[in-house]
Amino acid sequence: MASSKNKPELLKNGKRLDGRELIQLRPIRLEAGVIKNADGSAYLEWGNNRVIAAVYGPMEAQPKHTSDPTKAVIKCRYSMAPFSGLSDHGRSGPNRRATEISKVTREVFENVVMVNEFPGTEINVYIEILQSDGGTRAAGITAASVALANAGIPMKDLVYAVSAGKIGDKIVLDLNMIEDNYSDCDMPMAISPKSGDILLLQMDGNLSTSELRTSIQHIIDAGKTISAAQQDALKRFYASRQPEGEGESEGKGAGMDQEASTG
Amino acid sequence: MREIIFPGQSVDRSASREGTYMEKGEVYSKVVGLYDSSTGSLISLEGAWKPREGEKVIGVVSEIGRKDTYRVNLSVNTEGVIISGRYERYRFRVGDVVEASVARVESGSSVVLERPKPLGFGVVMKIKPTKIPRVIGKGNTMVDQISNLTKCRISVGMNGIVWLSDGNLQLAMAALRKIEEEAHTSGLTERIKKMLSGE
Repeated sequence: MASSKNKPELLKNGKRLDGRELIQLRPIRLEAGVIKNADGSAYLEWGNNRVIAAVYGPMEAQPKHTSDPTKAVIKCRYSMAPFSGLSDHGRSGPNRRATEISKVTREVFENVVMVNEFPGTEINVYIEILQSDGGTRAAGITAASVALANAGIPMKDLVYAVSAGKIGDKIVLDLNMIEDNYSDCDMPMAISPKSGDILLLQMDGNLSTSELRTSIQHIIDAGKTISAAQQDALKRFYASRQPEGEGESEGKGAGMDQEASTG
Repeated sequence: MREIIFPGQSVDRSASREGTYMEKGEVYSKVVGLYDSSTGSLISLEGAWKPREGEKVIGVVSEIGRKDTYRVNLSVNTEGVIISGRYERYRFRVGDVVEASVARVESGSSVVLERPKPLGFGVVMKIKPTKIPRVIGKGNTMVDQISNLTKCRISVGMNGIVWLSDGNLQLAMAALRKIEEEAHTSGLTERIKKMLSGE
């Protein structure tokens, strides 16, 4: 949080600076399979955030001593492009902040990826922030989750993340950069929608117990929109490779399951 | 009715074991796949190859060990081992393309191979392992069709490696790429036939 001096007015007539309601997400646009060389990838535009996530693996763990004979290790690299930031995040590379975010992102995915299916291997998750406007770690996790699914890595769930916060005494959702800097609280959270498990919870500022409860409820409600965007991106990826004039409903020829054999 | 399914979505208890997991008595998908609720079949759309016993695989000999043992690259994280038996002695060189079947899965990353057969001069092509059943087709229909129409000799490994030789290689490879791209669509055999017969 920046200093509370010269604090801009974040709420005007009950609306936020960018004209959003208190509990309103920024527009999300997600695309899967954008990088051909990767096993799985996703591109996300979330408000002014631009994120690319790519997944490689499972492959032999390098260097060898990092491998675990009982499970796959997940390696995460969150990085901001040098041209991504508004001001202070303007340098890329493994700085203190990027290392921390890589770690929390890794821990999110360690909880959902079925790591014991690929012992001795590593799964690389790369998250590159091309343009940032607050909430990039949430955007990164949301995109990486789609990239993992696109790579065919077995997972318990399609995770999403979003932040909630507090401006004055009002709970707001999906804070942008200015709100993040001057709000009274910013709380990014990653959720497994199937079970409602919380996989990431960081908090900058403070909330009362009841405020925390409301925030979590708002995040879970908004998660339905984010999950739908994630699923839609994956659906579109496969639909786009459907040849023209042949919908799935058309029963021409035998379907894949009938024709497939383990030969 | 087939539909696209995502990790964490619940499926019927009768759904295929592959691609699903169980939690608190409920069955969920763990992959992005095509799910048919009437038959319970769930076909993963992407994914890495997991070796199973008896499968035919194709690899490249990477190392020669003592007593005529050979190491074979099968995929990024799997290595095959050929051990010469008492009555069979194999002679391979590094770089040889070998077709074999999986005798035993030692651990996640190492498998023992049996009945190896050198494949000789040809082209090696990588296809996504999840698309291989489609490349083969029911009762080998798809691969037979390609080899009949292009006069290629084709060998397909379940690990995602396809070996081709002779005939119209370019056309056969284009057809394989098309299958890989459109594996999840219906009526593919017909379209490939059209493509190969130049219509």
